[in-house]
Amino acid sequence: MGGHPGWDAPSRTASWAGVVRLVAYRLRPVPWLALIGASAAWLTLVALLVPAQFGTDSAYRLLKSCSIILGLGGAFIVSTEIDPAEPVLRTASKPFWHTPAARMAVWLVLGTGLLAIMVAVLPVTALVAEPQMLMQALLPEFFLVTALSFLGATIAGSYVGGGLSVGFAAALFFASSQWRRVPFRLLDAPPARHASNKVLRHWYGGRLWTLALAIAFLTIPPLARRALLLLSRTEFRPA
Amino acid sequence: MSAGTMAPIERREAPAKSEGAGAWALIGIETKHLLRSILIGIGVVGAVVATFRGSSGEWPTLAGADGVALRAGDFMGAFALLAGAWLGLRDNRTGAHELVGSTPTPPGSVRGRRLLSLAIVSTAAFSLVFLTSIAYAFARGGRGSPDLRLLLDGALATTLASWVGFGIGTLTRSIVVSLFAAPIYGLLSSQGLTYQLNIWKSHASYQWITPSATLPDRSPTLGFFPDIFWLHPLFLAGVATFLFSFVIVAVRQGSIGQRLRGPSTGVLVLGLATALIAGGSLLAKPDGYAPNGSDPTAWVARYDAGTALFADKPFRFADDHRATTCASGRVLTACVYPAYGPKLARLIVTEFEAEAELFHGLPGVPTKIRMVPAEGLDCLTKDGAMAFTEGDIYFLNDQFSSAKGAFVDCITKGSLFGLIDTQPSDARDAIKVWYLLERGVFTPAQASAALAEPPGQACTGPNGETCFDVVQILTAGSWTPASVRAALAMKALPVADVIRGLRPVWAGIRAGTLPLERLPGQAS
Repeated sequence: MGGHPGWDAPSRTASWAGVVRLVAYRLRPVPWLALIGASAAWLTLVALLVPAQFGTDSAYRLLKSCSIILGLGGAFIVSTEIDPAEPVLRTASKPFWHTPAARMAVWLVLGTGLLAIMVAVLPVTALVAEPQMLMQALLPEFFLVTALSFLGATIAGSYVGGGLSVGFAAALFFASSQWRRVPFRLLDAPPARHASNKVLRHWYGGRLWTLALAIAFLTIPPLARRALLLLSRTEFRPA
Repeated sequence: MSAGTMAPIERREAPAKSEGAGAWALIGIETKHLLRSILIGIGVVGAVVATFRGSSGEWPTLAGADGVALRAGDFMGAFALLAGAWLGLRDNRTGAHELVGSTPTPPGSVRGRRLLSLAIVSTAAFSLVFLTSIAYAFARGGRGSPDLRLLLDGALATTLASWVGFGIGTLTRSIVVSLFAAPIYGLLSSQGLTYQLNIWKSHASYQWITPSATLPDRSPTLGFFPDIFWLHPLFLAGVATFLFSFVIVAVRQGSIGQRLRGPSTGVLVLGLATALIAGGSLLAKPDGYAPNGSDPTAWVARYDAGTALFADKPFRFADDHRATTCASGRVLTACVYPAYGPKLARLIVTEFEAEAELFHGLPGVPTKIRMVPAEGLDCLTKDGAMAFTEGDIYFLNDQFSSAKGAFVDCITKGSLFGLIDTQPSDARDAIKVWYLLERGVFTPAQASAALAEPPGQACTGPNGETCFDVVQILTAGSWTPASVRAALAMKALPVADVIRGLRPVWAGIRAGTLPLERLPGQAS
């Protein structure tokens, strides 16, 4: 289909520049510098503390805390505190979910990278697990708390929503440590080297359940919004 | 009265409200806001759940419930920090800072009042957690009296957390830093983590100077070892006073010299001095104590690690006349500290009566069990009673029934639960296995089946022999197949015959020198 008479189609380079500019606009409200700075500061402290004469349990507790702290970044993806003019943005020609999706993708990549750097510099010889096992121990919790914070921020704003998600994460951690029937095992340390197949199966099962929970929390806000939007359209449809 | 005679209306000044009334009004408003804060609410709910969870595995005593509440304060502190940080951020986030700044009240005064309102709400929140824990323990039959210094300590720790949050929110003005600070503060002050600080083989006891200090070893009757709960609240009060003054001084206008003028600088110095002196004294406190006799004031201070009041060398504890709550059975009397209540005394009698009755009359077999505060002791006290340590309560209700046979361990090995077995002896083990068979902890058929199984690879006895691994799962024992076979042979005899047969060899059994073949029922 041709354009409007007199309208010149933009060159491919110009369209890419436009896309990049649009993505930059989408990402700009998120306090990336503060997020990366605060996360890196905590990860550095943990990397310094873990090799000290801490017991293995405390070392894992500290490492798991990295996932939780980084996961709080999910509270700054989309909220009324990050995008005060959110209702105006919704009327834009591009679907609004592109914005949270782009921000979430960037934050997940950044968080995973930060965790990977910490695991790489950590002298894990004192720990039972191997480095790749350690990443498997940390990433699902990071995704889960990110998703929880994203959900919390959508409901109650970045700050209160973030606080709510910490409380809810604590409840999930508590439940998983108290009831063996809860399938996701959030506080489990990685299995030892040469662990039996049964132990490994249990471990990977727990990881998968945690990921599934994270995906569920991540998809609830957009689906709920969509459902609310559809309902409101149905309700106020002109005669 | 006509209009002409009406007194002229006088212009009266509205009664000026005193500055104090205005201050209280602001404190009241902020307190109301904070009481409605969902963040404080989550903290209280989480801490209450943690107290329920923390006390469920412990025997209920009011002197233990206060410590459980203090431990749950870590969770409370994280959310108090969040609430405090929000109060520090709020004016900037809502755009009200210019409005607040235009009022005649100086900004330092506004912040001071906000800090006071945080202190009120934090104290109220922790008090609620503390009272809930005490009430829960009382409802479960707990006795004794809580240590109210822990209420003061927890309230100060929660207040300090909220003030730290206020400081972070005010100084950084960053919502990210404020949100991230809460779990980091909660984790770093959590006792699960700070306990590790005392394994840094250092003379200084860092674990006592964290906001939520690790609970020292404790006996509900004798108190804390070491007792840090005079100095720790003082330390927290010093740090909090310093922080309070610092936040007020920091917002003043002018040069550093101008900012430091005024009474708040004196308070700042006083807080710093108190924190340094109290903190230094806490660092100098020992990690724990090693009991070496019945007088706790003579126990040896240890600086290398937590000791759980474990004696370096077993000794016989003398009657300190503190275990005064007693219950009696047919042949046995059990006395515990009053804080544990008569229910525990009755439970001990129920648990050990059968063993005491079975071996009643044999030389040196006690008819009394008495609670003692220390671990690692000789299981018999100086007056011949069986010692029951406060830590042994765990064994009474654990799922492996490991308390069964503890009395037999004591009268044959001289140690509780066989934990300190200096001279392993098959004959002693055989008597314990026989008793467990008599008691029905496991059946002769199970024992025979276990004997027929191939020996477990991971289980070796004290002399390198293969031990009896299946029964080991049921109890804390580690027995050789020979001792189990001897026990099965004894089980085939009537109980009275076994006891009659044990009487002449009893001294040899207690000395650990009796050969297995001389036990009753063994083919010679």
